[in-house]
Amino acid sequence: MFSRKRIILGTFIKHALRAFVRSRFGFVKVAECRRIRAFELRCAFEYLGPTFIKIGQLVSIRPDVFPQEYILEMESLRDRVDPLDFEQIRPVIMCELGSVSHEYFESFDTTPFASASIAQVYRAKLAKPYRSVSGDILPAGCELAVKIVRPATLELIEGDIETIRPFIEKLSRIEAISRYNLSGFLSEFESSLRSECDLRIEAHAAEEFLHAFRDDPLVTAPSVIWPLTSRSILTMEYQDGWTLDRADEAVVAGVDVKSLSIHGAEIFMRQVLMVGRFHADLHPSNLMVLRDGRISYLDFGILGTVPPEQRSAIAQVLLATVYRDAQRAITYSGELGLVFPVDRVSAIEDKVAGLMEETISGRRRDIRAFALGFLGILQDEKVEIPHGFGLLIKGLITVEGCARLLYSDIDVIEVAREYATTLVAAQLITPERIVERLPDAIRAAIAEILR
Amino acid sequence: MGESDIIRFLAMWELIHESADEGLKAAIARGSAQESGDMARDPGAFVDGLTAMVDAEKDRIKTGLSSSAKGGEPTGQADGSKTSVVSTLPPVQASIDDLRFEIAALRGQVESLTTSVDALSSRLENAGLNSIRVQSGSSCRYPKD
Repeated sequence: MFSRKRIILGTFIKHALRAFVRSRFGFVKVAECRRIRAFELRCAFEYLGPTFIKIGQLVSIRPDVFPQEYILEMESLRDRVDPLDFEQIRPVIMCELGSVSHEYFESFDTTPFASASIAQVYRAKLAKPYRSVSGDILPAGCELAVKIVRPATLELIEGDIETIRPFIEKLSRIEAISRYNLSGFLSEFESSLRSECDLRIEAHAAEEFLHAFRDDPLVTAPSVIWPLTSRSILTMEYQDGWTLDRADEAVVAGVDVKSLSIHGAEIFMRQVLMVGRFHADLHPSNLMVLRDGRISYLDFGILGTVPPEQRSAIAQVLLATVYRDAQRAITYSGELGLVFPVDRVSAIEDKVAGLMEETISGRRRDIRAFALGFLGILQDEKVEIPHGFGLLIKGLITVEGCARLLYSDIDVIEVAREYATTLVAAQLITPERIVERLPDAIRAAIAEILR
Repeated sequence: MGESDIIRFLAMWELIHESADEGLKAAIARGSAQESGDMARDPGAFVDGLTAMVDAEKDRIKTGLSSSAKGGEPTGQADGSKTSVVSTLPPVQASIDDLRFEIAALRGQVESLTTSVDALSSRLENAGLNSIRVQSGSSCRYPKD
């Protein structure tokens, strides 16, 4: 433990010194200084391994807490580690699945096709037909993907967390850093990690997603084989296609990527505004274009939730954004938990209006620039950003990025416009509301005709 | 109310209907002619755009119904090119589907727990963990009992 502590400390000191020298002892511009520090922090995280890679990934989805230079840098963290030998994985299978593995696996490829800090994934074949939760029958011989948590991963990461906790607590006392609430972030990381290591939670989230989108022929997620699923093992249907970082191959194969990218953006809005749960860990490796032209979501380890009472406010904020109505955006952001100082509301509205003009009014509208700029304004104005709001903004940014990987000219604002308009109209035009307003409307129409 | 009053009321009703119809058609025409981004111009442009969207949806429903009458797909969305923002399932059907899903999800969780319990029992009964026979090479085959 002592040597691990020394390694962690030594690595951070080394990269902090490098950042200090590279930023010419702090004499470069503030943004450039932050970019250099973020780069060195990423290098340190990659060197220190799984715990820090996961921390970096969590940083990358929290634009509400960290400056955008850190978000951008942590997005490029690669979670690739050398796979463990199958002999070390086999006891996990025997302990958690026992004899069921003989009954359900026809064959099992002992070389993993993916390996990350928490789990590695193997291919296998189903020995007998299985009726999935969605009711589809997976035939015998069906290709499977078996995700297995690396042994002792949780203990290893928890050990690292205990090592860094005292430093984090000391850092949190420094005034310039205290606003990032690093202790709270570490606790959140611990809880997110525990849930990520229990693969049954991810399995259930995938099934819920499949159920929510059962009426959409273009969207899918892998079905779960529950008798082969436990805390550390998740067995799913293998999905054959191209992840978004290989989208050009899908184009060559004749997939209509333009429709798919528009639909992908709509799916995100439907998750947020209708279902109330959304995939909060979207990146090009977690989205796949299947050979039959559908889009498949993978890896439901991190989910965002939107309570019903907030969905309407989010639709209004989205609508205000697409129609560039800064005042409305600020009003409804208040309903999402943002507290604006009364004397600064007007100034904030002006700043947001300026940002809208700059980023989303031209022909090539840029949601990413707008969203990060908006968060920047909130941070400058010291407006505390609720966690859910940050996840949502990050989700929207990622959706635009992923959609552009498929079809570079997609205008997510245009997709959002139709979606938010229809949704808000559906919320407003209810039978009760029509009955309430009809007499006034008829009176007004008669008055207009008789005028 | 005299006979002439009823006639006058119905005539006014028809007049309202006619005016609204003409206004609607004109709004649809203006909304359909809008370029991308025009809808954000002013509230009038927004209403025109919305009206054109509603009209396009009406046409989709018409196509769907006509296809259904000819024995085709009833919703008009068989190609998956357009999914409705608001759920297309009738409420009762959606509730039944939700209940079915809950039951199936519970069945899945029971299957998973059964596997865990069986694995624990067999570990208690038999400490030998070498029942998976790994073949040489990259793949292993599980023998059937």
